[in-house]
Amino acid sequence: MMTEEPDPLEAQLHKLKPQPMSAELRGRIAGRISASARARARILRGSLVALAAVLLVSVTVVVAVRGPGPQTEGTKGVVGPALPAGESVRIPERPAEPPLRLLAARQLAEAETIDQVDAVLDQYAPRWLVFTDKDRGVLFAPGL
Amino acid sequence: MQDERDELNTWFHRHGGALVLLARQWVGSQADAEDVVQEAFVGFWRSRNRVGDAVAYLYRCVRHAALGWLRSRRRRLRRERIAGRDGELSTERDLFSPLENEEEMARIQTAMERLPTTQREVLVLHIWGELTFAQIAAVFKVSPNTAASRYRYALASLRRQLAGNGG
Repeated sequence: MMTEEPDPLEAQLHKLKPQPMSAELRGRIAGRISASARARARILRGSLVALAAVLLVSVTVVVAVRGPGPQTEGTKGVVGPALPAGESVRIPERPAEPPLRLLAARQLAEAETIDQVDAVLDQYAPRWLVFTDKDRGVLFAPGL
Repeated sequence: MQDERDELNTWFHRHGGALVLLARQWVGSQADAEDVVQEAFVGFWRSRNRVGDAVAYLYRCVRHAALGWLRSRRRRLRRERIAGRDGELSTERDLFSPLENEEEMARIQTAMERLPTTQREVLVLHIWGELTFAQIAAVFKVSPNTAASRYRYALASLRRQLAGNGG
């Protein structure tokens, strides 16, 4: 394999060294770069604060529009003693409350006068479904 | 932060002189060339991690900034000519660090100044920037063969001039 002779002119050119970058220019560039980095960091911080503010306002508006959710009592439960080994859990019996649908039906059935029927209908009307039956006309049924 | 400063110093050490030299191919005075390099370097630093060949990109930034400076200078000169003021380009000749053989250096510098700008640029990038022809091609957006040809023409022209001057 042949190796190329180094060109004397190229060698001569390589001997010439460009003036090194001055310390003053280095300082100026470094200063500009760090100032630029600081400015970018400021913009980033500002953007994050603005985003957080927008999120906060959005959440506040949504909560205000939708209103408070179902009120629940605070849970101030007391941690009871652990169940001794081998003992089974006993679920206390509780009389089940009849659903509203049943209550409405019962009250309607028990109504003796038209005023009582009206009162039951007024009480449950907002929650009732209204449908028609081709044989029996307009019917109301609790949609609960 | 310290890492970035070290990285910056490495870039300065490795390319600083060649960058200013490249700018001087277009910009007359050292002070103006330094301004050009400063602008180009700050722009380069922000996007250096998003480009393929950062070295070629840096030299392209400097060339672009130098050409922009030249365009604005031409506009300024036109205005000054209209206003009757003189705005000639400074012709400082301190491109290289002093050598023992000052006469030889002056001869080469004079010969270089007579080269077409495109050949001079390729010479600067290859000899002092130590860029490959592929990188030079990326700077000028030409093919590597064209970059190599310009370099060969530049050397041949320099050789002719130096021989003609008794070198």
